[in-house]
Amino acid sequence: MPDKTKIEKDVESEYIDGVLQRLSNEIHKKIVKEYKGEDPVSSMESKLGEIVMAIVNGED
Amino acid sequence: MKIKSITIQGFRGFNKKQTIDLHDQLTLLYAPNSYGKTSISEALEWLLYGITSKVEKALSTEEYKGSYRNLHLTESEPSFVSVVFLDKNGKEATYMGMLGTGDSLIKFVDGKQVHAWPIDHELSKAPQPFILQHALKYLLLSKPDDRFKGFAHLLGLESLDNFQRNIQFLCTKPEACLPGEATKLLSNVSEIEIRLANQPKLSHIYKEYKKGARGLKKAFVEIDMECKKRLPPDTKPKSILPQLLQKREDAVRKIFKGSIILPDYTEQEKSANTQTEKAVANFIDIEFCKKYAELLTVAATRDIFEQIKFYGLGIAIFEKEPGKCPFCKRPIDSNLEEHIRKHHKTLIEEQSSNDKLLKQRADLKGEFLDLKSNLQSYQSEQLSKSSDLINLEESKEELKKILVPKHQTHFDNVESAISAIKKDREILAKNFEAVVKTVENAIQSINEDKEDLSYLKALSIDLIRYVSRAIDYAKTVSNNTKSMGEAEKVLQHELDEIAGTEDISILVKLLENHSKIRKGFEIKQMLNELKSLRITVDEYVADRIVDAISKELTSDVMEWYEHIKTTGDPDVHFSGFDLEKTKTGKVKSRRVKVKAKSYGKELVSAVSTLSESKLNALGLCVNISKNMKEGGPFSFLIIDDPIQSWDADHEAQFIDLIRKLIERGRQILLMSHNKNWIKMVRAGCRNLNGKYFEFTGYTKEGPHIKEVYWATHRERLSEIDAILKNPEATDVQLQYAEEDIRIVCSEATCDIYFKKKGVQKKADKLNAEKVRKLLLESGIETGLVDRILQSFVSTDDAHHAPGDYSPNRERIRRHYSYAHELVNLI
Repeated sequence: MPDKTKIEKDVESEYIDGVLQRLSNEIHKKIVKEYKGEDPVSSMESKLGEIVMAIVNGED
Repeated sequence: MKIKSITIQGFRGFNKKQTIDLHDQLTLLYAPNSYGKTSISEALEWLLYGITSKVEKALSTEEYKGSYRNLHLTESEPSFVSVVFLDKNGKEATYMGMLGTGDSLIKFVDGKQVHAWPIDHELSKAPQPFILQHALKYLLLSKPDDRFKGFAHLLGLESLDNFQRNIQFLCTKPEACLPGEATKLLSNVSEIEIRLANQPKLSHIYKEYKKGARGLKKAFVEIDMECKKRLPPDTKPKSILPQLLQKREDAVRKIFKGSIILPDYTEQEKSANTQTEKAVANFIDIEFCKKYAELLTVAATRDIFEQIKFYGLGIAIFEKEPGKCPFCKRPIDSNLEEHIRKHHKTLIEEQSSNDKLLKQRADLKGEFLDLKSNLQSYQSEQLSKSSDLINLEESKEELKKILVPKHQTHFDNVESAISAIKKDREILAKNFEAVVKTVENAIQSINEDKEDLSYLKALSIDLIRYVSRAIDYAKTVSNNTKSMGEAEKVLQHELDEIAGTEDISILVKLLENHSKIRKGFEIKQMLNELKSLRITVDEYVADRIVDAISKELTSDVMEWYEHIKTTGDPDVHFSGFDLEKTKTGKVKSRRVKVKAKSYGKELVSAVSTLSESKLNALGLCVNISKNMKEGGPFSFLIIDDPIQSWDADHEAQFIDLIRKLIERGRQILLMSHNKNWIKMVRAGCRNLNGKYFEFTGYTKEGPHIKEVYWATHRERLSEIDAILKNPEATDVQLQYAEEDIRIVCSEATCDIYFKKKGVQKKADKLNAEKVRKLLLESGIETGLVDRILQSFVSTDDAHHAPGDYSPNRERIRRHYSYAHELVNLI
């Protein structure tokens, strides 16, 4: 049911906005903003991995 | 939407097609357990949602595969559920679901196949119009997290529940989802930390180190001081690390010179190897074979070159002395001269194509040589990977003395790795030798103009065989790299112990990994801070849920709970919903509390203090309250066996609740296995004159369903009599009595007709004309028929009273006596 998906996505973005308003840590904000798509957990994990790899590959 | 009728064929307990016509307000259904009663609610669930809640909540959906189709349904017959719905304007729409392959639902509306129900957009938002036993149990008696999920589902907050669970998953074990490189870095850092923690000489460094990022600067000042202590005073900063390494090396090498080295293939090496292996295995393709085969003709045309020379010489002499034979000087005719010139030209053309082949031959030879060179460098790279480990074999006995018996397993691992790799190296070397020889043979065949396709065939086989052995060898190496790495660590540790260089070794590690340690601490701190993200999300979700359950849901449920709240037993009752809190008043994540009070005092939990009967009633009220909220397409409610484990008080109270639901516009289909209670419901809802069905038996044809009159003729007549005898009976009561007379007459007509003709007629489908026809066909005398029909005068065909209708006690009394007369004939 395509409508159901749309409704769920709308509701999700409402939660995300609600949580974002309460967050001050920029990394946390970036991760929560990635909560989207078919597999939101993977999206968040990828973002976390990206942030971590920026540290790993950062200046020695 | 209300339901007019339900037709089921071959679904769950139903085999033969059966139709149940529902009453506009209340339909009761009695069936002993296992007679297929629940199949009706399942059929409706499946029709609307494509799955039944039983299957949806099943731990193993495998067990339910193919369980929708009735086992005894003839193979050629379709399994389907068809429901005639009525919208608020009375317009009919028939939804039919055909059971397809894989338990799929094929939808039809008024006979036309559709992709979705017209109400699909509303279905996802609206509560399901089913109140089922297992659903209630699931909600209240489940584990805390499941109960939370159940409430989230009930409140339409599944997305919020998923959101919280997903964030929790990420924040609880974030290490599990880090890229391999980051995991390795963290593992190195914690390994150094463990070694540092176990080195008493460096305890002051560890004290700072374990503070994480904030202690790191001070830790490295201490590290620097410790390093200097172990080196000559004039050592320059840049020389600290190399000199420490040298110092340790000197001490350790006195004990053992070797190392257990078996590096794993890097991603780059793996990719390069795969590329070479593919190129080698596919070296001989169709194009290559074709080009090689063309070379076979080169040998045959080798004498062309000599002929060109010969004819060329003759032509050169012609130029000097035209018309004479260049050899004997005799005159020759122009035709012969022309022939010689033409032949020379043809030979030159042939030579030109031969030149192409010669170039092709050189190219192919070049390719063979490249192949040989590639094979040699590949082979050399492969072998070098394990050379250090193989060389260790010579000092195996010394290694044994250091590792055994304390580290027997590591030594055994080293020994078996050497043995396995050595064996694979030998096989690889043998195959390498063979393939190189075959390449050389092929090159030689070109050099000697002895091209033969059999060389290519042999080479093709040898190349594939070699690549296959090389892959096996690489696998053996990779399988042993981890254990060799561990053995090397153990060896170095033992050497440090014997040489007394553990502290130097740790200092070296700290210096070498300064940057990695800093990055590791940064990552750890970041991962640790994810806990605060989790807390923020938990608090946000808790606020949302508390708001939803403690206010709106509590008041909605309480409204319905009050209807069935019993008063005669101890005062222990549900008092609302909340989230559990800690002693300090902090909300516990994902813990729904069902509150209860006893004589004004709050109890620990309703779940642990309420009787099963009250819990059941509460669960039912929760479901009802969600269903009674505005919105959604359904005006009906299917209630399946609600009174299991209820006491008599609750059973009686629930009848009032049903009346309340009907008053609020709900059409109810109530099913129960309790015949006495169903009788009580009929009595309690007598004036509704609903429909009542009994499942009187069950065979492989399905349930035997019989429609039974809401009340017996005698019961109805006696109630009418009581109204007529009551001088204070209101107009409404009199009107009700008049309607009841018509029902008695219709039902009695059906009974008489059945008795005479053996054909069952439906009383609610009869009007005056049909009653007359049936009675006359049953042989009832015309006078009585005419008298009976008088009771229908005050209604029209649609059973509605005319506009000028008013009840008349005398007329009703007269009609009552006629009805009595008819009933007496049965």
